[in-house]
Amino acid sequence: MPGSRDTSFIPKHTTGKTEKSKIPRQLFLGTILVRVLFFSVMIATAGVFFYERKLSQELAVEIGSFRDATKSFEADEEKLQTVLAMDKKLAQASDRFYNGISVASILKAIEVSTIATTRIENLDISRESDLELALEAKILTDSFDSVLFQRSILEQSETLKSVELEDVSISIASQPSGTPGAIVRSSGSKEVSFSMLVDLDPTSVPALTTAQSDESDEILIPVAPVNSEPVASEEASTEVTEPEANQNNI
Amino acid sequence: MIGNSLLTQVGIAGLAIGIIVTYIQPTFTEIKNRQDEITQTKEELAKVNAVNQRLNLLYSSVNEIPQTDRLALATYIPDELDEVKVLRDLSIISGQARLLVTNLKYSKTGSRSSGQTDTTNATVPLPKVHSFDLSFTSPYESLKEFLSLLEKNNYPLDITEASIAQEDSGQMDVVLKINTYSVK
Repeated sequence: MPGSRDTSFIPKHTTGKTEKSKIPRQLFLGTILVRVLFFSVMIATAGVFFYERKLSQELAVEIGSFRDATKSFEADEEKLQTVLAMDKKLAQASDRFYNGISVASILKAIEVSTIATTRIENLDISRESDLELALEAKILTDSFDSVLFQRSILEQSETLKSVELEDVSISIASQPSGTPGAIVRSSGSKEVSFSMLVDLDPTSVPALTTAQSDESDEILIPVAPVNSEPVASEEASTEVTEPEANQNNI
Repeated sequence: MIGNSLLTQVGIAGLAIGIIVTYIQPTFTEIKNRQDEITQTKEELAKVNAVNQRLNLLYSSVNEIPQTDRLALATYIPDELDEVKVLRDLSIISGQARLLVTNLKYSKTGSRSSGQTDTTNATVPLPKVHSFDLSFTSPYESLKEFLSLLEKNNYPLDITEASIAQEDSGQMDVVLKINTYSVK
């Protein structure tokens, strides 16, 4: 029919070129950033959640281990007391052992440092503490020269070098001395008396046991059992009782 | 799908920032605290384990001390002192040195004075001091023998005061204060 070309029910043959709808995709940079941010946040949230959970579990395990360890320590209270008691006893024993002094050594030092013309009337030794050891002696002799000589001898002594002489006085002796080895005096003879004060260094006169231990570098182990008889070996008596030239002067 | 409108974008960004501020950031702080706690707990655990290990080692060492040495130590510093036994020992030593004892008695119990501090370790616990008075007359040789025997005793018999005077007969008149010690 003329003028109605488009009214036929027969589909028209097209040229093969479909006409695409051209809708522009508007993908802005801001949109990308927002989406990256969002998904990053979501991933980070999940990561943080699970990591925090893992740390919580780890902390719980560590706390459990710590509690077990402290319980184990508390359960060992008896062991601790045993160790502390032994440590205390050893410390005290060591303290006493190494702070012991030898009065026998002091007497020996005095013997060696006493000249033949002097005689010790009185000797006082006092130990106020482990660090303080004082010696005071009242000595008689025949002249001031002897006093000076005695002082020079004492000052040469390793043990008695910090000596002070006091109360030096002269008097007339009234009685003869009957002591063998002492100064020879007769009625009317002059007698010079003086006091000797010495501050001794306790480490210079260690106890015999300590000195022997230091020499042999061994620990002292008393041999006798508890509550036994005290040791009285023969060597003990022979070591210290060697005759000295001036031993009768005291 | 997420829309592209500006409002949506702003909403998403706001949500993300909100999550960061309200969850991620506090959780990060929490994680840091947890990590610190874990580190601290591990350190403390290591310390406790080290102490336990040391304690077990020391306990083993104590148990390995021979019985003879234990007895020797108990003799040297007993837990509690039996003063009668010390008096007996002093009497025996005096007899061995052939002294003429005029006085022997238990004087007193006390602690060491503050001046008696250890020269190497100030933390040494102070033992209990037991004092004995001993007076005797003897020749000089016997006095020296007695002093030597005292120093060879199985437990300390420290002379803290000594007064020696010569009599007209040539004998020594001796007064001693002797200390010995116990833990309690």
